[in-house]
Amino acid sequence: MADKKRLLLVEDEVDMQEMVRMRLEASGYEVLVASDGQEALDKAHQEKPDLIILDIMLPKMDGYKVCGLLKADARYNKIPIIMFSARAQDQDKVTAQEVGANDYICKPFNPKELLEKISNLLQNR
Amino acid sequence: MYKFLFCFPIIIVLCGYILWLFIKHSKDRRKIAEAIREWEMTFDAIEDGISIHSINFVIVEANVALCKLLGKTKEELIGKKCHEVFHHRCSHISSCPLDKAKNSRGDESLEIYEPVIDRWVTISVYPVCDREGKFTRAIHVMRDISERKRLEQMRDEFVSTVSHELRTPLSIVREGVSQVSDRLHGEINPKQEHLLSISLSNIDRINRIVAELLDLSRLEAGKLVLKKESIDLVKLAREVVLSFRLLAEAKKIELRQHFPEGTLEGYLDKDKITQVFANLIGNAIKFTEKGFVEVIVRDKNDYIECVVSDSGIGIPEEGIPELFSKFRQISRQSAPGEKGIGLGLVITKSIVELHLGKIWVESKLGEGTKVIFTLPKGSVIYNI
Repeated sequence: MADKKRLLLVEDEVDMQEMVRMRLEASGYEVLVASDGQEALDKAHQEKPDLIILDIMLPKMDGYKVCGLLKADARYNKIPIIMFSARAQDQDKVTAQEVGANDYICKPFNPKELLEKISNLLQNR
Repeated sequence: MYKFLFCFPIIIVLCGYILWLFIKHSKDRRKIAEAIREWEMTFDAIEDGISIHSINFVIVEANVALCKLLGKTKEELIGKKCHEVFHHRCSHISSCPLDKAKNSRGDESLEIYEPVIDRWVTISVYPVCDREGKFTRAIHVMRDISERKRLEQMRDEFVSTVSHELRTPLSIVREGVSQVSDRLHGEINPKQEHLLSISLSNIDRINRIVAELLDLSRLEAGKLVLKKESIDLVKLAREVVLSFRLLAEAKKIELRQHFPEGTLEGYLDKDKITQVFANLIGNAIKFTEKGFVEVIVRDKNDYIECVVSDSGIGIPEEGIPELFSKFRQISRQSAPGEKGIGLGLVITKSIVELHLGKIWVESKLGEGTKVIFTLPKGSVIYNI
C-alpha cells in the first residue's frame, strides 16, 4: 500500500475519540478528528478523507445533517460514511439510511466489527 | 252486663298486643332506616368510585367518590348506560369487564386510560347473583391510579436515562482495556492478561445489565414497536440452536431439536423472537448440569407452539409465578456463567405477549423445566 488511508473520526466525547483514534491508528490508518458537526463538515471539505466515522449526537449540527449535506454534494458524495451512535433504536438505523449513510454501528462497539466495516467500504470504493 | 265484664280483660290484652306490635314495628322500621343510612354513609365514604349496574349496563346506584371522579352529580349518572357516561360511547368497549363478567360469571378487572376524565383507572367488576343464581346486578369499582402511573413513568424514564448515560463511559472503559489486552500498545505478561480478561468479562456483564434495563424500560413505556414480517420460524429456531452448540458441548449437554419438515411461516419480529429463543435456550443450558436441552417447534393449526425444555435443576412450585416478575432469580447461587439481574424472562414474556402469544412454565424441582410459548401463524393481522 502506497499511502495510508485517511479516516475522519467525528466524536464529541473526548475520551471516546481518543480510544477509537488509537484503535484505528494501530490498524494502520491515518486519523483526522473533529468534535462537532460544523468542524466535521469543514474538515471533510478541506481534507477529503477516504472514509468518515460520524457520531449522531453532536454539538452545533447533528450527524444526520452532516451526512445529508455531504451526500447531497457531488464533490463529496463518494466518501463512505459510517454512522456511530449509542442509540440502538431501529428508527435511528432507518434515519441513517435515509440520509445516505453507508453503514451503521452501535456503541458499545465491537472493534472487530468496526474495522471490518471500514475495510469493506474502503475496498468497495 | 256480665258478658261485658267478661270481655273487658280480653279487650285490654288485645289492645296491649296491638300496641306492642305497633311499637315493635316502628322500632324495626327505625332499625332498617338506620341500617340504610349507615350503608349509604359507608358507600359514600369509600374513596373508590363505586356504582351498581344492571346487566344491561344501566347505572342504578353511584357513590360520591364516583361522582367526584367523573365530575357529575348522582342524578346525571343514575339511569344512564355506563359506557355513555364513562367513555362517551354508544356501546360498550371491547375490553369491558362488565361484558366479560356476564360471560365468565366471575370477577373481572381492567387497567385503562380514560381520556374523558384524563385519568388512569382500574375498573373491577363483581357480579351479584340472586337466590336462584341468576346474574342480576354488578358492582363496578373504579379506582384512580394516575399517581401510581405517574411514578411508574418517572421510574421508567429514570432507568432509561441512567442506562443510556452509562453506555458511553462503559464503552470507553471497555475499549481501553481491550486495546491493552489485544497488545495494541506492546507486550503484556500472562498475569496482566489474566487480570484484563477478568475485567473485560465483568465490563461485558455490566453492559448486559444495562442493555436489559434499557430493553425493559422501552417495553414498559410501550416504545418498543415490533417490525413484523413473514418469516420461517423453523429456520430461525434452527439458527439459534446452532449458535448454542459450542456452549452445550462444553457442558456435555445434549442439544436436541424437533422441528416440522419444511417451513412454518409466522408473522413476527425476527430479532425479537431470536432474542426469545436465545434467552430461553441460554437459561436452559445455564441451569442444567447433565442430560439434555430440547427445542421443539410445532404446528398447532391455528398457531405455532414452541417448547424449550431441559433436564436441569427445575424450579420449586412456589417459585414459578415469581419467574416473570422483575429482578427475581431463583436459586441464584447455583447459576454459574453469564449472570444477569433476572430481567431476561420478563423481557421474553413481554415480547411474546406483544406478538399476542402466551407463555407459561411447567417445572418440578430436580426434574427439569419446560417453557412453552405460542406465536401467531402466517401473515394474519390480529386486532386487539
